[in-house]
Amino acid sequence: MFTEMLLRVVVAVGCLLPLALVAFVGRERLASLRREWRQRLRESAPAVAVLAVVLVVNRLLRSSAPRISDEVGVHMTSTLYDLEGEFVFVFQSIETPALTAYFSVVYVYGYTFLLVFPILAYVALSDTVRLRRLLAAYALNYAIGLACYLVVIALGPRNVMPEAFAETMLYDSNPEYQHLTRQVNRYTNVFPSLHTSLSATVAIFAYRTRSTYQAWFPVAGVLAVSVAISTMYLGMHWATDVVAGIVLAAVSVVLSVSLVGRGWASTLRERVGLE
Amino acid sequence: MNRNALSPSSPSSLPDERVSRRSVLAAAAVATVPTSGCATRVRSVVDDGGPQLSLTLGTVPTDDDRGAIRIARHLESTLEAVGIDVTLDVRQSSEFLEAVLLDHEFDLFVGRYPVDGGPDPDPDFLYGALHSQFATEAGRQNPFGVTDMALDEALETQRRADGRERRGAVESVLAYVAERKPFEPICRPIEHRLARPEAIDGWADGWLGTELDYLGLESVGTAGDGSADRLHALLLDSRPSRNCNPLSVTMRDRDVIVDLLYDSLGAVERETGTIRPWLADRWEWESKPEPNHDGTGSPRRTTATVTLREDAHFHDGEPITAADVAFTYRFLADTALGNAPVPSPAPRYRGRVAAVDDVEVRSETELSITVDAGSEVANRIATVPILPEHVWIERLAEYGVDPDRGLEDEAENTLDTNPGLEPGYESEPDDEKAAVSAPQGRWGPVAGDVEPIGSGPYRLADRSERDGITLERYEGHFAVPSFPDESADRDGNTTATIDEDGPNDETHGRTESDGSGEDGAQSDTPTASIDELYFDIDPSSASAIQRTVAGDADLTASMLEADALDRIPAAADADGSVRRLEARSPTFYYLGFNTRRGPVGNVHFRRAVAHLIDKAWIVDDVFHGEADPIVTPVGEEWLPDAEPDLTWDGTDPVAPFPGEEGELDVEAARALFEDRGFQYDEDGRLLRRY
Repeated sequence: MFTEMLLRVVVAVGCLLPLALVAFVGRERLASLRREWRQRLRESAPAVAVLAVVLVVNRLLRSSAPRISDEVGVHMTSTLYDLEGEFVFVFQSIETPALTAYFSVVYVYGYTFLLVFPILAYVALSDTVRLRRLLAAYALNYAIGLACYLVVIALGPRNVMPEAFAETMLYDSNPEYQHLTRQVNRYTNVFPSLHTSLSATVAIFAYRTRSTYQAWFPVAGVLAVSVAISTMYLGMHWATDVVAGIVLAAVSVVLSVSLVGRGWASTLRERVGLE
Repeated sequence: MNRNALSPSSPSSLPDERVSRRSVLAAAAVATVPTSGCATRVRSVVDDGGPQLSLTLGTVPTDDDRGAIRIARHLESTLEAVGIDVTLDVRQSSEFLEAVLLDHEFDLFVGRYPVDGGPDPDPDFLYGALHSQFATEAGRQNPFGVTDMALDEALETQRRADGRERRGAVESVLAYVAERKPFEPICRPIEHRLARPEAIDGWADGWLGTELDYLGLESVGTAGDGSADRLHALLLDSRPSRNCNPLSVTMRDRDVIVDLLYDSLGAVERETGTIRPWLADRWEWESKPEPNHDGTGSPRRTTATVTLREDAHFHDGEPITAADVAFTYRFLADTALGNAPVPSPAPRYRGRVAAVDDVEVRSETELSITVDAGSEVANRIATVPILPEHVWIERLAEYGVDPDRGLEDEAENTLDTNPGLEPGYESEPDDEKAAVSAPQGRWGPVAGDVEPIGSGPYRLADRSERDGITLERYEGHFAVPSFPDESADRDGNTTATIDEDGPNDETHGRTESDGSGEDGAQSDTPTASIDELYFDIDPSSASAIQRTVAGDADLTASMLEADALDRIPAAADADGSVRRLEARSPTFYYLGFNTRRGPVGNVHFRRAVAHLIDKAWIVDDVFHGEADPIVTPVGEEWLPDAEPDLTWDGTDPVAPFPGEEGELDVEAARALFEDRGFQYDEDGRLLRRY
């Protein structure tokens, strides 16, 4: 079931990517990509490695994380619920079948596309600093997010107020999706919303590169906002998680911008590489 | 969208008569409660830490039990409507059980009470649930902290007496539960499962909850092609894949996987509801009336002479001996084996084990067990998992336990299984170097994971945390078809015991024996016909149904939630590609009161709170009719004929819900509290002092 779902997402996103690349990146840059992608990837290798390490650690922690949480974790479900109560019902008030379908697609496919596309788009730029910053920001999002998951044990709104999400609970209408998400995440990992933080990260980068990719920013913006709303509409996250996700995105971007392309490594590269 | 919306959200639904100033203010205060939780939150922030009565209400999340969380949400809204500040605390199952059973952390808790065995459980499980002697313990026993001498007496009488006297005692216990509310039974769900008849067969009725039921299953279609039979079952609870310790109280409720891994002396037979000899080749139970200390009643003691099967082995190949059985009861009574300053009884099976008075090993395969119980319930002690002494002694040694230590004051093979009650037992270990810290229910040997070496018909082949657990048939088990024919053995035994059986007079109570050597004995031992049982952990009922219908899986092993049942396509039902298994559950949803805490200790408060659950609406709306509303925790056959009236007849006879369709008549509900002497402030908040 998991493989089937993964395949579905890979195929869908895989079909969308070439179209998006042609539309947003343009044939010229794609042509340059054919010549220079090795060089660019080599330059970005450290950032790729850092992200890979974070993802591998996440995978390895999958079985031991609950035990660590047992030791250091704090039960926060009632705190979140106390804080905002039934606020996410706001999104339930606009519930229609079409909207439910839209947010379900955005939550799974839109989100995956949103994360993968900018990587390719920034590889297509001759200056790799954007790519390296994006990858570093992903890594920071994951690393900080996972640390929060160890400390904060909390369940999402759908697990606390099922009656309100009767029509919109993704896993009720499309139970197969849960096979996919549970490989990535556990149901006690809701604070902060990584869906929101990674989408917001992409949107912030899209804003910063809007002079290069003009058409991409509005698309990324709309998608990122949709993803954030979908997490609440589908009952996955509390509004607090979403706010925390946005803060996490901001922190990750600021950190990655100040860490990558500014330090001694890039100075060195400039001296050696741009002789 | 909030289907829990209460009447006060529309003030017009409040009754007009008897409008006092207080009730208007109260209504105004609660009018904001249900639809906008924000209002209540703000109010509790503004709260000066003052006198409003506040409660914590614990339960489990939607993914673990949608019924429980929905009942809790309903109760949360009705409690808030009557002016109580409620903190709803939702935790995943293992954490919920830790908070409820070990830490006694919540004031109120909603869950499904696990009851072993078939659909008609014996009420004796209430002994462990309610007896005062367990009120200070940590574990499945008495999580309510209820202490009452009259209740204890009734519980003991139902355990010791038979027939009408027992029935009377059970009725007293049920009346006590209904009137004094240590917990409030809510409804008994119908257990739904889904199976593919083209893959498996062999369920006699809709019930698939015990070890013997799984032994009855047969693979269809795959036989004959030489490939191994494999049952692909979907399990909705990941805990068995994370922990196989049969004693871990936070990792299991009912758990058929542990039953398949660990055999017990007896096994529950589905059709009759009786317990048949299983690891025991045969047993004879002899009841003796014994004068009570005050000379009243006819309490009984029952002694079982148990002969073990000679052909039974643990999964590591070691034979099962009477010493293993004796060790099991000793260990369950005190898992520290006398090495800790205070005994640390196992957090599961406590109520059953407490009945064991004495265990005497007579030979390698023979022992006698004396039980402080009458013949009707005495054999319930035979349903605990038998543990291999050599494995557990080794394991306990890692924790510094010296098995010989606790035996110093006792005769060699005799043991005291009720250490908590006898002051003599609690003597401190004389040299402190041997003292072990063994907090009940929490310490390693009972809480940590183990390599499950039992003697069940299946043994652990493989498990992958949160993904799946594979059991393979244990070829050394007597319920396996390839097992060497044991009839020669058994005939020998039979002739040897005729003499023993002969003089056994049955005037005092029933004597039961397995009738080995009779023609029927062999054929009615169910056989494990499937080679491999693969329990695939699936995240939800909806997904499990989808996969079973699609032919990805053969069976849903867990009970399916009522909400998901309409996902079974009519076409699949019609063409017979899937079959629904349905049976009334022995388990029931309940609201637990932690009587140790604040206002919950007040019986009047509990009685008022019990009114706030609309059982009829819950059955209708939450369970879509796939449950029965209940007043008592046991089946109808135990209900009193006369007073008190404990029969559900469209409404709860003891604590009827003021309101209908889940909507509370706030005025009437508040009156329930006021009539009991509780007071409201001018903002309509229920005051803590009472």
